[in-house]
Amino acid sequence: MLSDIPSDSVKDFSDQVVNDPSSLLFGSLADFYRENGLYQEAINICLTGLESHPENIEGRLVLAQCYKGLNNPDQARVELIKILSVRPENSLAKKILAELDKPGQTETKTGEGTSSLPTEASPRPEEIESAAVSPEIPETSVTPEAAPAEPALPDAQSFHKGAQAMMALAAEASEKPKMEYIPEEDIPVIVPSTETTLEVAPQAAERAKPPEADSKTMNAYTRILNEIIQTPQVTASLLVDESGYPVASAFAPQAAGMDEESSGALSALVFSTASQAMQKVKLGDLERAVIDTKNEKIFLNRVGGQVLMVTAESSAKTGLVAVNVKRAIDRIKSLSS
Amino acid sequence: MKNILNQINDIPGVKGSVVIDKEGLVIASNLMSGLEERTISAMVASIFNQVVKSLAKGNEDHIYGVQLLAEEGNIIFLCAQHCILIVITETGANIGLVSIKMKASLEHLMDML
Repeated sequence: MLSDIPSDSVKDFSDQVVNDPSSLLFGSLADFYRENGLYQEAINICLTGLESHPENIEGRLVLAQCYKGLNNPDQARVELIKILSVRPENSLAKKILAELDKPGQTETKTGEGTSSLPTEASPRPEEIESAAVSPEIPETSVTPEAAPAEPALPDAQSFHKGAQAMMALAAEASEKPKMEYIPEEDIPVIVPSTETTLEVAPQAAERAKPPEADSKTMNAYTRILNEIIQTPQVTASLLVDESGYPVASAFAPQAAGMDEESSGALSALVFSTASQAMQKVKLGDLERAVIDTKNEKIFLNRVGGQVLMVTAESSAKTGLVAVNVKRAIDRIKSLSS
Repeated sequence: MKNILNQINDIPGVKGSVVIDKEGLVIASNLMSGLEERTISAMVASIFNQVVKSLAKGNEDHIYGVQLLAEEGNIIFLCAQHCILIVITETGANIGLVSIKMKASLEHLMDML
């Protein structure tokens, strides 16, 4: 995984976030760190980024995952409840929350086993409501007892420290041979025990992985969509499946109130109608539709069996948005293949 | 009106152009052979209505235009108060040039209608 990330790009990425702490890229960078086990660095980046963008769902989601990774379920739950108060439909947040609520997931590092009862662990409706009452996700959302041991606001040095650690890991991963030779006599003989009566076939083991794989793919989708909304005047990007259900989404602050479900469904409907019309006129499969309205421009793009919807302000440059969307489509296709 | 459409058709890659009303009825057309003006106008009117209903909350004045880019050709249409100007192009046509020409032509058409 690390070997897939060019070390230069990690440094560039890190530099960009250090130079511009208000950049929306902080979520993606933090996710890189999280994926590679550097939870504390990821938390520091998220906390800094969320000061500028308290409404950023991706960053908060990464923060929750980091707290979960550090066996701090209470903090993770606080962040997830905040996400669900703003986006009740966020499936990843629900999923992580459900995982936290499983017995055994709420144990602390010291094994004290606080709040191990699922009923206590699950968010109470009044908790979500009280979080929803606040007009926006508060900037100082981390309570004093919840603050991490390290300083919340990292400086440039700590970013670079993290980037260096990433690069070292990447270099190590690329140098390591993929498979190591084990002498035959060293291979342990596995004696089947009475408890393990079923042998897990390789295919079954692969099937057992999907939750993690899905999570990674979803994160990758979200990262790509977040990069699209970095394009000037782009307000939202939304990936919907052929039925019109949203797969992943990213919204700029000015489109925070957008209803992703209805927008996704209507976009898929329009794209489907236009696609059928193009086939009747014998012009082949529809690849892209650009709809220019009084208030916005809507770009609908075919991505395999899915539709990528991107909305931009009416003054947005169609060519620039189209180029960035095309790049994003290529990346999404490479993820799917 | 035919002259205006002829000027659009002079752009390389343009296969034809049609002017329709918002019900899908043909007002004027200049299409290359192989393209059925009735089918195209009906389809464009259908897409236009779908877009108005779905994305413009029923307000058809809010739709300026639509570009449909497919594997074997493109359909671009611009909307005015009473009519829709449709242009069909090949895949490699210069969409920017066609769009500029269409905007100018639509102003002429609106003066005539």
